[in-house]
Amino acid sequence: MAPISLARIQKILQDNEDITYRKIVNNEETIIIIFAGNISDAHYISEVIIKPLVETKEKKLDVETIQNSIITASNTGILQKEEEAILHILQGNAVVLVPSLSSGIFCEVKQYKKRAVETPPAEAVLKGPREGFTEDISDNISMLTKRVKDSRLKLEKVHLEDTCNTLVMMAYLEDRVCKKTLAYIQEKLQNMPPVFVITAAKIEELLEEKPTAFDTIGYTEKPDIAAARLGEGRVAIFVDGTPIVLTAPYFFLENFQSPDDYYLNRYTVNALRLLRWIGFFISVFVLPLYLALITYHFSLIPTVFVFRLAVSRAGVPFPAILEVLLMMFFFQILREAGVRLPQSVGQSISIVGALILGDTAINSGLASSITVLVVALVSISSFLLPKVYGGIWLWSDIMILFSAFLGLPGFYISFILFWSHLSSLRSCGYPYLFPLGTLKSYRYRDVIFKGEEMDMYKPIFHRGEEDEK
Amino acid sequence: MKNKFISISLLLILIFALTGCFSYQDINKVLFVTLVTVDVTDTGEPMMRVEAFHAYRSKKGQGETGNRLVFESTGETIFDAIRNMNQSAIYKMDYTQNKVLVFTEKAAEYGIHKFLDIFMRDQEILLYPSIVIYRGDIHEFLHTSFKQEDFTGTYLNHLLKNKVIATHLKRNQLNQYLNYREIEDQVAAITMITMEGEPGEEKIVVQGSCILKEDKKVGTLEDEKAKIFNLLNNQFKNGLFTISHPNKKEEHITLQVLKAKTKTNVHFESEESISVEKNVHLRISLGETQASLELDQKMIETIQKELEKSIKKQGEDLFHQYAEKKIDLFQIGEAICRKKPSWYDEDVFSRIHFVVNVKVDMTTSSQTRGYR
Repeated sequence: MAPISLARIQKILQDNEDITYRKIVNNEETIIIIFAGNISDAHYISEVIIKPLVETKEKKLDVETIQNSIITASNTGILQKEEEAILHILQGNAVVLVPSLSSGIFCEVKQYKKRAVETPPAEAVLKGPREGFTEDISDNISMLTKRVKDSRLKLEKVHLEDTCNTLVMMAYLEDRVCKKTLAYIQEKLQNMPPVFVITAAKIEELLEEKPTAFDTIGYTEKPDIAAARLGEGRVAIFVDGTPIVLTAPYFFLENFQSPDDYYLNRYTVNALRLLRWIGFFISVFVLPLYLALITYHFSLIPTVFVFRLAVSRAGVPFPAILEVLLMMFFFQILREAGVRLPQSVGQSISIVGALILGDTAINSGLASSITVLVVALVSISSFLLPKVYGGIWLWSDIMILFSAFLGLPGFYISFILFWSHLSSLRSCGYPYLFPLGTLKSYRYRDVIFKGEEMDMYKPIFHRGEEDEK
Repeated sequence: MKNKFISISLLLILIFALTGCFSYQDINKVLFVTLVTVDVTDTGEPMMRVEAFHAYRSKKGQGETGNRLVFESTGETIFDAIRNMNQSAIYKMDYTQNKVLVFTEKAAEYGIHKFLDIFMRDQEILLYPSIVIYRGDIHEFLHTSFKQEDFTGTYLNHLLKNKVIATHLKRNQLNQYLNYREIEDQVAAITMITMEGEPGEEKIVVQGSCILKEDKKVGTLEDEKAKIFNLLNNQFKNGLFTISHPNKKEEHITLQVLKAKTKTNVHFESEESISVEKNVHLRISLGETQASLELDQKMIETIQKELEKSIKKQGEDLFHQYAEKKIDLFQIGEAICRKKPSWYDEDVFSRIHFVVNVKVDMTTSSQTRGYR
């Protein structure tokens, strides 16, 4: 084992102005304390490390004596390697080095600047708990363990090849977790190629089995949801610096669930679920169907409405396909502007933009009023399912092109392609459409409609591979 | 890789196999035909007139609007006439919104068999428009503005679906008429219409049915006879019958049919004697009386018998009237051909014993007995 050398540490960290070297001489023995000033608690270091070392009357100052009899920090450890010492310094811990012995101790003294626990804006609820995950992994773990006081809760540290040494942790309930999923995730993470910074998005991409616009790995900003998913037998992945916790496996049906579903009246929730399903079908299928009908299949439209459609398009110089794509493009611009701007401004921009653009597009003859109405209906419907928005947008555009080229046969072909694509997706070894299409009875009580509260949060993967037959 | 190749090949096959009938057409770049009329010239050429909807951007007020256009053309064939008509049309004509196909009485007398082919087989023309015969000047009919609807085709379509008419006068669709052409004798009854009213107040009126045999007009059934005809063919759902007042012969009572059902039994006793029974069962109620009426059991029985007698007589008379002309109004020839094909010949009607059995049940209010 190579001795820990102060000179080498100083060389490696030579241009880092944040690193502080505090020299203490006691009883003719020199002790060096190394720490990163901005991410560690200097006052705490003075109290639990420097002061005891200065005041000690011990004659023999070896690492065991310093760790066991002098330093009063709560979490300490003996360092074996130089790399470990550097890692601890960069993580905000203090390293106590006795140069004459070429050995050291680390003391946990980190103190980061961090955000307070807040309500996650994307998963706000009317009735449920408000707290959301933050960027600090220890806070996030504490929020989870506060809810799951179970000895079977396992929190595994995942070692990844990352130059920034990001801490990644995996949580699961030992007795409920699907072993197949766990093995899949562990294997994927172990074989992860080296990257600069690990983010939740990188891990999400790593776990995806096929390129798709649909999320096959779930995410949540709320500890209660993460806890509920662990209860069902899923795995949660925490990444330091990300206020989002990944959950796997993740199924298509979960896109239709909202955090409020588990706190509001069951019947109200199921009515809302139905509304979301209708919204999904409107947002994906209505625009291609509309285009197929107004460009190929006039006989399927009632006569009076055909006349109205023809009159409303009479002043539009472009083909209907161009008109529809143009309106969709305008809407995407508006949406993006609304999302990127600060919330208060963004909302006004969206409303004013939609009103002005819609009205002027009709008046200038760029679009017919009925097309604007259909595009608006489709766009608003897609807001009901924010988690699946990307997939809806992409597939709706694909279906529009098929319908424009082939009419209803094109619509049917793209309809089949859409469902084939969804059926072909997998999430950590499970079919993405699970439990839809399974022949065996399943324990999942939250399919299209929410089941009884007492049946929820039960493990759903007990039978492993049998579930997907 | 192999699967992908098969999938893409299937997709391409579908693209070319399923898109033969229609091509991309913007909805505002089409003239929507709402009514098609077929007449015949003195030289026997088909003369086609259509009413169409045209959407356009008006210069006045820069607004979009639509108007009604009438096109007229002749040709060697109907297809030829359609092509000729397009020579003066701003956009291609689309027949998918056509709800009514009108043949003039003159065309019906000439025979419509020459004009049906394109309506039967062209993929851009639908098979479900109603088919009617127009009695009168078709040019005037198409150039008349009706107050009830801007478009004559829409007006006519709604008129034929009007519940009061639809329940006792059968509306034939083109596909149903084409089915009649396939059965023995090829006899069909098609609704007749005409135009009535003072100038500026014209209305379309349904006027019984026109009897066509082998696509040629051979007779007409006025309203009352058309009603009996439909009743005996089990195509009468409800309607009215008016008979003389049981006590005062100069006054009338109107009976409302609540339910009607007719069963046909054909008895093949021998080749010389075929008996056809039309068993009619009617449930009626008293609709109106012009003179006071004490509706006791005896009176009910009298009214029932009177109506039974009236329907029986009218039904049997109607059969004999057309049997004499060798016109098979009730498709009896088809029934004979199916069961005893060798017994069927042109003189079969002289050997048919046609009987109409009517059973009328009159329902009354349990409390109201006196109609004074």
